[in-house]
This record gives sequence, C-alpha cells and structure tokens, in this order.
Amino acid sequence: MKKTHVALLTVLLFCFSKTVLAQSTGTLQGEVTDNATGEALPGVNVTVSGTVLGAATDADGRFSIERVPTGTHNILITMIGYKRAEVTARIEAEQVAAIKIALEETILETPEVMVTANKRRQSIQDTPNSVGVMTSREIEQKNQVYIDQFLQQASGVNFVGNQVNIRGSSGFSYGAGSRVLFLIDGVPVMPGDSGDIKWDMIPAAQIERVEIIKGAGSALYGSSALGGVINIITKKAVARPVTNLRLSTGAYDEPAHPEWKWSDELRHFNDIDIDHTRKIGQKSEILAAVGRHQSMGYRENTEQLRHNVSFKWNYKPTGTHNLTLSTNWEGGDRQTGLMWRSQRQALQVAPEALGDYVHSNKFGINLFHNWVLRKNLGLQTRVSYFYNYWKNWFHDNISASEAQKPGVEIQGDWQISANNSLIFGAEGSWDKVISDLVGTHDQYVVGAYVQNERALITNVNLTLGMRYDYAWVDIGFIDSEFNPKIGLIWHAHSKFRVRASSGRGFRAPSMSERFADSIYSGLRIIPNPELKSETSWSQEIGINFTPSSLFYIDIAGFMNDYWDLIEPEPNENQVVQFINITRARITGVETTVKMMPFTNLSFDLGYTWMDPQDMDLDVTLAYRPRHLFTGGVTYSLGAFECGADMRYISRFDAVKVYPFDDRVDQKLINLRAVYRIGSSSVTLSVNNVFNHNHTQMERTLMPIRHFVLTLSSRF
Amino acid sequence: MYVKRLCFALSALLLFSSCTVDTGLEPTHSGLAGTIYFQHEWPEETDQVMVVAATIFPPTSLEEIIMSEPLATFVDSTHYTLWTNPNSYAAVGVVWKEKEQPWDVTNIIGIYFPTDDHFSPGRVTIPDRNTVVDSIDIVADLSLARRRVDSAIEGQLTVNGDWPEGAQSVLMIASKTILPTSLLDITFGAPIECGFDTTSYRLSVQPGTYRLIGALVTEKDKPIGFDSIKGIYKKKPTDFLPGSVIVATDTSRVANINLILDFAAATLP
Repeated sequence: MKKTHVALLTVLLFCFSKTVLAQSTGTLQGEVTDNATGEALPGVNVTVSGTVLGAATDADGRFSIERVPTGTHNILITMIGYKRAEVTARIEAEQVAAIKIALEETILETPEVMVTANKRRQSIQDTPNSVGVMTSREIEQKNQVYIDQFLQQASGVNFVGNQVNIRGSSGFSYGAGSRVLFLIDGVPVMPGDSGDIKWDMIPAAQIERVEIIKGAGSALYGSSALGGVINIITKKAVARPVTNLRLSTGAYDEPAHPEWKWSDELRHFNDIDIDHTRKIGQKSEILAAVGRHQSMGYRENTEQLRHNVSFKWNYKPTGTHNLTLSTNWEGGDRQTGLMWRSQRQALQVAPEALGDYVHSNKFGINLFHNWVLRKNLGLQTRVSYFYNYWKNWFHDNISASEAQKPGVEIQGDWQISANNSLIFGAEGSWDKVISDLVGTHDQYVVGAYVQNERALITNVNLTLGMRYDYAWVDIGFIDSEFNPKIGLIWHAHSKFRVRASSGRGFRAPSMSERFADSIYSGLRIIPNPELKSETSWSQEIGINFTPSSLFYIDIAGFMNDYWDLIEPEPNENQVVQFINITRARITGVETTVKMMPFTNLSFDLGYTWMDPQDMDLDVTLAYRPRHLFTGGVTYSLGAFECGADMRYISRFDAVKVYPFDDRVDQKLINLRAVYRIGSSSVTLSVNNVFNHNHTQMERTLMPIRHFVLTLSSRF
Repeated sequence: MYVKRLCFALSALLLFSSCTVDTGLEPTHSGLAGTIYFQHEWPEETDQVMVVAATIFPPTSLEEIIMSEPLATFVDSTHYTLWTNPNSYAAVGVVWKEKEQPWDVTNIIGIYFPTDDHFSPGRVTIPDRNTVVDSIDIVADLSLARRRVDSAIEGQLTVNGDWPEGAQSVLMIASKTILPTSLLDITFGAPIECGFDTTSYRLSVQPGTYRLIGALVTEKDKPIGFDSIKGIYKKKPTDFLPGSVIVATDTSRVANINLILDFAAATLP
C-alpha cells in the first residue's frame, strides 16, 4: 500500500515538474559592477520579485537565472555594503534578457540588508518584529575572534558570563539552557545536554552576517526561541578563487590595581584564520577554512588552545536544484578559572582550582537541498547532525558528556501572488545524551509551522503564523506547545513605517536542568524530572524612519511576559535544584540610530531601557540591567579608518548568589584604527582603553585593557 | 557648520565620557583576620577548611554567608584574612569539608566566642572599606568534623498553637548531653520553612547516643538561645527528662522520633 502511494507521488511530482518545464519561460542574464570603480562585483544577490527565483553573481559579476516566466518583472539586487537596487526586466519566451546594474557603495548598511528572520529572504524593512543585523564589515571593524565578543556591541544585547540576553530575556543560569535560540545557517546548534550556546563553534572570520531576532520566535523556530533568535550566516562558497588570511596577535596590559597583579609574564593571545574558496568543475564551488586560536588569558587558569576546520560544498546540477553540504569542527582545551579568589585577588582563582580544565569537541554537518519546483514555489530540505563532547578535569569533579542531535526539516516557500506568500514546514530532532552529569537520556521533538504574509490593504502587510511542537522525554514526560504570532507593517511612506507584533514563545528544559546530578563548585545539584517548559508572550510596537540613505532611526516599545521561568534555586538544605518559579514581565523601549552626517563620518547608536520585574515577588529580576547603551563612531579618510565603540550597561539591581559583593556599571570603550592597502588591511585595537573593572557573572572580572594587532589579506 | 560641530561634539562625548568616571571595581581593603587554633587529630578525609561569616545566625541560605579562601590544613594553627566589604556579621565560624563531598555550612567545627558565653557567637562589624578587624581568633575542634553518613534521626513535627509573628525557620537539633555547654555541642539540621501544621524531618547525625533532640525556632531580629527551643523529644509526654536516642552505626536510621512544637507554652516545654 505504501509503495503504491510513493509511486503515485513520484508520478505526480514528475508530471508537475514537466508542467513547470512546459511553461513559457526565458532567461535573465546580467552583470553587476561598482558604480565608482567599474569593477565587477561577485557574490551579489539577484532575485526576481514575486517569485522564489534568484542567483548570485560569479567572479566576473555575472549571473544567469533560467526559467523565468515571460512578462515584466522587478529585479532586486542586493549586496552588503551597497545600496539596494531595483530594476525592471522584460522576459520573452525562450529569449535571453540582459541587464547591467551599477551598485552604489554605502557605509550605512542596515536599511539595505536582506534578512532571513522569517525563514525566507526579505528586506529588514519588511519584517514585523525587530531584527538587528551585524554585517561582515561591522564584524571586521570590531576586530574580535568569537561571536560573543562582538555581539556585546549589538543594540539591546548584553551578556552575563557566556549567556546572551536579548532585551533582558535570559538572566543567568550557570550555563544550563538558553532563552535565545542559536542557529548557524538556520540550523539549531545547541547541544542536548546543556542546551547552551557554543560561541566558539564558528570564528568571526567565517561569518558573513549575524541576524538578531528580538522577541519570542517560537512560532517559526520552536523551543528556546523564548527571548529571541541569533542566526549566524556563514560565508558562501563562490566561484572566483579567493584566499582570505587573518593573522591576529595581542596582549593584556597590567591590571589597574597592583594588588591584582599575579603574573610577570606578558599575557598574550594569537589567532590564525585562513580560508579558500574556488570553483570545482562547472557546477560546484567549495570553501575550506581552518583556524587556530590560542590565549594565555588575563586571569589565572584561563589559558586555552582551540582549533577549527570548516568545509562547504555547493553543487548546482540544474537551474532549479541547489545542494549545499557544510561541516564544522571545533575542538581543544580550555582552562576554567570560574570565580576569583577574592576581590582582593580578583584575577586569581582558588588554589585548589588551579589546573581545572575542559577538553571539548564539537562537530556539525548539514546537507541542504533547494528545489525550485516552479517560479513561485520552492522546497528546501535540510538534514543535520550535531555532536558535542566534553570532559572536564576539575579538582572536585571529573566528568564527561556526549550529546548527539540528528535533525531533519522540510520547508516550502510559496509565493502565492506578488503580495501574498506562505511559508510552511515541519522539522524533527532527536537528542541523545550520555553524560556523567545527567545520565543517559533521549528526547524527541517534532514540530510543524505555517506562516502567511499578505497585503491586507494598500501599504499594510499582515503576518499570521503558528507552530505546534510535541516533545517526548524518555522518562515519559510529554510536552506539547502551540505558539501563534501576528504581525502588522504599515508602510506609511517610502521612508516611514510602523510595525506591531505579538507572539508566543516557549523553551523546553535542557537535560542538564532536568537531570543534572552533580557537585559543582562545592554545591550539590539534584535533578528535577518534573520541570515544565517555560513560556512567554512578546508584544512590540515600533516605528522606523529612513529619510535618506544617510540616516536611520528605529524605536520600539516592547512588553515580554514570562511564565514558569526555570531558575536554579538553593533549597532549605543548601542543595541546588532547577525549578519553575517566576512570573515575570520585562517592559522597555529600544532605540537604534545610524547616521552618516558627512561622507567620512558615521555614527551607530543603540539605547535600551528596561524594567525587568518579578511579578510574584514584586522585585527586580536578577542579572538584568535597566539601561543598555552602545555607541560607535567611525571616521574614514581614504585608506585610513579609525573609530571608537562604547558600551554602557547599568549595574544589575539584583543578583542571586553573592548579593553582598560590590557591583558596578559596565563601561567600556574600544578604540580601533585600520589602514587598507589594496585587498589587505592592518588593524590596531585598544579594547577597554580606560581599564574599567566590572563583572557580568559574579566574581569573574571582565577583560582588562588589551591591545590587538590584526593583518587581513585577500588574494 | 553647526551640524558638523554637533557631530564632532558627539564623537568627543562618546570617546571621553568615561574619562572622568570611576574605574569600576577596586580591590577589597577591608575584612576580618585572626588565628585559627586546631584541636585534636586532623581527620584523614579532610579536603578543605574555611572561615565562614554569616550575616544571620544560623544562616538560612547561601546568600547570607561569605567564605574565606581555604585555610592551611594538617597544621596546629594558621592565620587567616577574610577579605570582605563593610558589613555586620552575626557569627564567624570554621567549616570543615570532607573529600568528594559538597560544602555543608552546618558542618561547623569552631565559632568565634569573644566571651565565656558559648551560646552567643560574637558579632563582628567591619566599619569601613579600609579596616581589617583583627584578633578574630577561633578554636576549631576537629573531633566535631562530621563525615558523610547515612545515619539519621527521623520523625514528625506537629505544631500546637499559633506560629510566632517573626518566626523564620525551624532547626532540628541533637546533642549528646542534656545540657549542652556550647553551640558546638549541638548538631544542627537544615532549616525547615515555617507555617506547617505537621511535617516530617530528617536530621543527619553521626553515630552515638543523643540525650537531647529538639526543635529550635529562629525569629527575626532575635538571637537564638534556650528559649528558642520550642519542642523537645520525650518518650512519654509526662516524662520530665528528654528521651535518649541511640544511633548505632553509620547507616542507622532511627525513626518515629516525634516532637510537638508547643507555641502555646510560655517558655520551655
């Protein structure tokens, strides 16, 4: 019976494909150049509006899109660093239409960026919720190695230890679980045991763009997208043979106070990243990258040596099929100086913790298949596997954990009409964990989603979406969650838009929160198999004003409600257990301004005010600031560019473990200077230039003043 | 022109706004210091010994205590400095930690007693950020170190009368003497939240004969003393003396040691 169904489906699909092929179509070809220099631009995205058809330019700036339906089409041309262009092209049956486009460079990138926040490429101006973007140029400017280092400069984002907060979502839970979903190229890469984010999985040198989706995103992304989503878009493999080399070295300065000096050695760090991309045969491109990252650390017992290898293969057998295989491995040893010995010896750890370290390996492999079934219907299939292993050698605990996460996702993208699109899909994953910390457990999650974006009336777009998830844990715990969302955008004027959105989010507890049974830093942690999922509702209303390509302002008011937050709590026996405790609400206002008042001077400002309240206890939520400010200024003069980045995070009103410790505002200023020679550059940065001392996680001093020299070259 | 000036002023503000502000955290220059005198043999299972100061005594959560660096072990005496910010500490003590076991802040082997009253821990106040309060000397009795055992006394606690307004928690206590002469003669259990009518308890104890099993109620802003004991175990309600309990081995569990918390009685039951 099953075989009959499969055969029938195959025949139908074959006929459907034949029907598509039989439609009257033509080919669109073209060339994209830089309007100032006339040079060909490789890697430019060209899409046919109202369809799922598109291509990227090759090494010579040329592209070709086959099987474009006859008629007149709007062609959208986008590339980071350039203003978006839109042209009209007339396609005749079985003819080749040729266009030439010259793109104008811009430093103010945000209004031009295309994002995939809604699981399909669209302008950031068309998303109903707040989306922050860090482009490769901004990442390069920050001169940092890992994602968590430069994300600290993103508007509305702050870190507590290695846990990321988007608009105060996460707080701090000692590395167990995350209320922000972390994706690499749209694939979740959070291990099943700890459920936290592995920031070292991809070095900054391999990143093309980071998208920060603010507010609950579970209606599309499922569990963990309670407080937002961070999606890392990695570099693409392109046809032109290109090699990128990044060499970086640096050292930490003396501590601000002589009492804190603990080492006579120069505490230095060195990083090497190299990648190469080229065409292989007529239909495929590859990208291979390796990296080595070593640091002596500025604190005692924080030395580390990490390596990473990435490989990407892109194969395009026909104009309607595209296959991408990507793999990442990262591994090495890292010492773990968790907390200071005392505020008197803030850069040293307790003597018994000397030598504590963790060895870890992470590996991910993803296979994507994009199939353009017809001009307005695309189907993407993703098969993924993520492996995470670690073993720690702590003075009071030696343990290991292995987590595997195979997953599959099928997604359809149906452009019903020019102003009506539908995203639908289903995904499933299996977490298998064998761990000294949590035992041996399996968790299965399946989910299905659908989202419709349509023009309600002229200039008003409505987004409706929903997702259903069903999770089963091997101890018999079952959880099912339904997460709807609604969004509205009113393009009141070509330069002004108003948006509003509301959505539900949820996060299933990680295995470590549910099953952890261990001794950590002298504290006993016991399991809580009855732990429930935490849920949220996010509401947002925002306005966006872009009077010119030189000024951009975005203001958003938000209110995020949380239920059953999972927090570690010491019980009356001084034993720590993760329990559902708090009904919380975080309200706030976020403002982002980008402006370039002169050709050579640009500003980038972000301010977020928040009121994080525990509604049960009527107190401020722990580990959340009330004020976040990020500011950046860049001045460029020919081949020379210099700038400064500032971050201010107000003192946490409340912390959980050591409330009597001193706490201060976080104030940081980084200076940078870049000199470009052809396709090479030399960057010098002084980070934390005023050597401000503060903590994020209690008893862990954040990096003191350090100097970084980076040489980047493309050849 | 004005726009240009404004932009450069904004740049300058961004760059130098923190020049005039503080540089954040500074090393602690205040704390308390003294000498710990160890008595009796060091147990082989010793992992660490620390000085602990508690803002409330007995502490009810980890938030109320601060701990020193680990002290030197297998020595007769050692000097210590516990660097901490200005605060008033209700008690300062020495806590023993067994190898491969978590910290247990009730595993106290010494308390700072400035007078001969060994039921009243000495309050230590650090007045400002530049003062180290010295001579907080403590005698630590290593024979009081409690190894992890499975032996315990278990039973039910039943309340008679209304809970006092300031009641914070209930601590089960056990002593090998009917009239303990020091807080250190008493084994304390973990705090039990107030407000119950009946609840079960489990008090982890070392093997031995316990001649006093009681329930002590801590009250807000009130030091603990004999009048804090609101329930004593008796074999028969009419008995005058407390009932004895023998915990024979490391794994003995003595059950049905039931007590009545008598808030109706004016003083000791």
